[in-house]
Amino acid sequence: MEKKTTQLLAVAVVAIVVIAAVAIIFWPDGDGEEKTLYWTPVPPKDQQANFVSGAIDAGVSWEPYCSDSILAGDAHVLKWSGDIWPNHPCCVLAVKTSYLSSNPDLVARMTRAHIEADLWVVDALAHPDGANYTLLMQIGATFSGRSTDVVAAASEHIGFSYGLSSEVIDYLEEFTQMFIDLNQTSLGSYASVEDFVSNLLDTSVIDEAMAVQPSETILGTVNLGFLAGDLHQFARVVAMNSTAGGGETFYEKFGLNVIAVNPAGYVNGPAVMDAFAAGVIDVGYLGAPPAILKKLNVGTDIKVVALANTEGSAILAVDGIGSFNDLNNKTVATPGPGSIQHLLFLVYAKEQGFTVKLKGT
Amino acid sequence: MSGTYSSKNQSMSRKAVLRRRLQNITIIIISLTAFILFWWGLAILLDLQYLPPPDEVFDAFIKSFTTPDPNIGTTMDQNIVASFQRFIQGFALAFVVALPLGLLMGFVPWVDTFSRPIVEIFRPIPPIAWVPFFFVAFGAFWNPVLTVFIGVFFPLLTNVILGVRSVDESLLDAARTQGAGRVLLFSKVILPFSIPYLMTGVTIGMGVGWMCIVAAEWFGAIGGGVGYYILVQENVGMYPNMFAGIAVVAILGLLTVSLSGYLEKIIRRRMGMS
Amino acid sequence: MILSIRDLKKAFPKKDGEMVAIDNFNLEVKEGEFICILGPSGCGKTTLLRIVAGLETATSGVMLLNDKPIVKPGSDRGMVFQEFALFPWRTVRKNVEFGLEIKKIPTNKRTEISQRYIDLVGLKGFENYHPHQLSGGMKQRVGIARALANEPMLLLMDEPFGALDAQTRNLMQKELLRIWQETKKTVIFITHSVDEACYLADRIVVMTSRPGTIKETFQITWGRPRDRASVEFANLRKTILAELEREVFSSPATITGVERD
Repeated sequence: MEKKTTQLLAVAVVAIVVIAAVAIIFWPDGDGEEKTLYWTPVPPKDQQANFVSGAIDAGVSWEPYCSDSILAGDAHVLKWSGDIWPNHPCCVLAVKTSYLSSNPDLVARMTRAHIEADLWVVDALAHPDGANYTLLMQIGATFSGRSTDVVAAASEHIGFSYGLSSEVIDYLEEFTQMFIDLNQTSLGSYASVEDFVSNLLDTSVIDEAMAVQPSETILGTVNLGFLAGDLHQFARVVAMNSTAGGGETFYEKFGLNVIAVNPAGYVNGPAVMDAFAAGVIDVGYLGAPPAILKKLNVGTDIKVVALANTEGSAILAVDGIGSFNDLNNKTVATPGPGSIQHLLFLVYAKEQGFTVKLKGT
Repeated sequence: MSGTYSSKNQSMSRKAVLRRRLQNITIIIISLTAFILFWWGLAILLDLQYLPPPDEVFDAFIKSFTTPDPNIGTTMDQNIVASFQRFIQGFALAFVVALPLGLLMGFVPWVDTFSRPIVEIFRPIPPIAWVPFFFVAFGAFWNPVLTVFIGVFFPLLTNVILGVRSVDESLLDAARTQGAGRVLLFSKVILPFSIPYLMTGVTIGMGVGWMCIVAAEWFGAIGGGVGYYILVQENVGMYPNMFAGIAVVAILGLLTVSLSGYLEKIIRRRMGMS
Repeated sequence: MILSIRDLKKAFPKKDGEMVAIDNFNLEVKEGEFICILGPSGCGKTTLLRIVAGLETATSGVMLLNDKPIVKPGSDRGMVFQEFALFPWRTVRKNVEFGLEIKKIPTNKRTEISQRYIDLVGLKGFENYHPHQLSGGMKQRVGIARALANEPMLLLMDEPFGALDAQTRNLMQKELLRIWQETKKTVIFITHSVDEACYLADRIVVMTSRPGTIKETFQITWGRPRDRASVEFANLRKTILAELEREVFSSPATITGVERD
């Protein structure tokens, strides 16, 4: 081979390495405008480690991950989601519309089991000295893999209510409007936001649920989906627990054989919606925003029949960040577009006068 | 002047070569058109929200370049730049590690015996399996780079080793009778001989690297990224956008692989080793 | 300068015992001689050449080049291969200069030397061609120039024209003689072809089949170029052919064996 070709090759190799190095060092990081905030996608379960390593200055996540970082001293709360949106709905119980039409009784029973479990949780939390409270903490610890202290702290900031009140309806309409304003969705064939939300909800199921009687025999099988590690769905965890149910699960009490299709839980709300679309689950627990987004954008036909929880999320920050305004030019971790935490963060940041950009842009 | 001079490309006249090339291009156009029509028909027939027809995907494709995505905030060219950065960084890293290691493994037996078990343990692990670990261990910047690295490293290594092993024994004999010792055998015969094989590894690696990008950007998309774009669009249910993103990755993969293949051809020709 | 081979034995270890390729081989080569080694397939002639080149080692026996034992390959014993073995990524000039680069000869001296040998083998004008652009005959010219550029004491040629067509082969034989007469090298030339040996050699050594040893030696005192059509040439060829045929048909090993053991 000619010396020239060797040289050419050597130059090419050096060029590749140099370009890589330049790309690492010199690529522009952002404009540094007045009051800008940079978000980066980090799953809540990884946010604590990122606080510690200094990769992020703040993070939005849901319980138990909030209490995780707080109790470990790795971050403190800037804002609870309830401070920004008091009593806002978060996770919901949803059912495939076609399944609801063909199995109204099973859905009613499912909802009733959910309500009973929810009431059990509320009662247990109201009596911290009681045996049920201890049991609840244990259930939570086993489920989330966290200590009972964390579970206890987390439970304080989650509102466990199931009703689809007018406040809930208003919030859902607000969320939908926010998504539209952000250009992340459009109404399509729905006449208005109110029209959409009333189509999204089926408020009659709760009433039917209250009329249901327990059953000795199993009346039907239900395929259930839910999120992994999400303490918002505590009611579901309790409903599946036979100790709390006094010898049988809440589902069995009302005559249901509930199959957890993905026992470890789906990774996020959109995945639960995909499972609905694929026909893999009949009933599911997921966040309201993914339900709204995918129902609007994809047309996945589901109905929200009950609430699973309110609030239960927070914006945390590392030491040195005293208030939200200190976050100028800082990096904030979020679970990513489509989640309520991301929406909360976007809306609140804009309200505080920030321009929000993806980190690295 | 004695001896005859023969040229390799005498089998077809220039005109015939051109005609053949035109034929091939026509067939390719027909094939792609058939594919798009089939897709269109299927989309209309099945009428599924998650299978958009080609025109919607095309619109989304164009729009992604002109308008920043409402969810991520970047335009597609920004995404491409971000992904490309990672791609190059991961690729360069793989190159810098695989080339010397491959040369040593091919040439020095004990290095091969030592390294091979470790290499073979890691080789079958798909890059995507590493992503969550890389994210937690190395952070949002290095995660995608290392994922591309893992994907590209193994084909590069394999081809370099193959190159070293494929040297004709007669070339080594000839070099020996010219006075070359072990070191010179390596630098003057084995090294140049294995360069075309290295280039083959590079071409293969290019394709693999882009396949890793989506997995790579699952947990790390500083400045955006085409892989991350695809993920987010799926999450929020914007399927025309998602397919547009997939098309972008496909095009990027095609371009880089073709470029590398072309470079490989040139190098082989210049080295007289076609 | 003399190449002295005494009681050379080469055995290869096999599954059951060993396979003796060469045994009791004795040969003295004088300076400037053109020796052809002729033998049936598998008789060990290529192995012998490789031992002289230093690419293989003898099991026992003595091999001395100017009273110094041969231990490893070196540019003092240039070799030309049947399959040419040119470095495909190097041009003609760069191939010829290969050994000179190893000797760290400075660039302009290298160019001078390589040009001399390129011209000698008749490839002037083709210095910047790559091997794949050359015909078989031209490639072998490069091989010869490459070996000669190191000014070796011995030129070892392992069936160098075996891969060429008959016409090119005849041409190359003539060319080789011309080059040899100009450079006055000592040549050990391995071949299958009786005709080729008769045309080229001062001395023809006929080997037995495996284990190879010297069967017969023919000293040729004719001048060059030799007339293939002449009666003497035909007689010599007939005689040697008869010797060879007896060897070939007497040993089962040579019928099934390959050339290189």
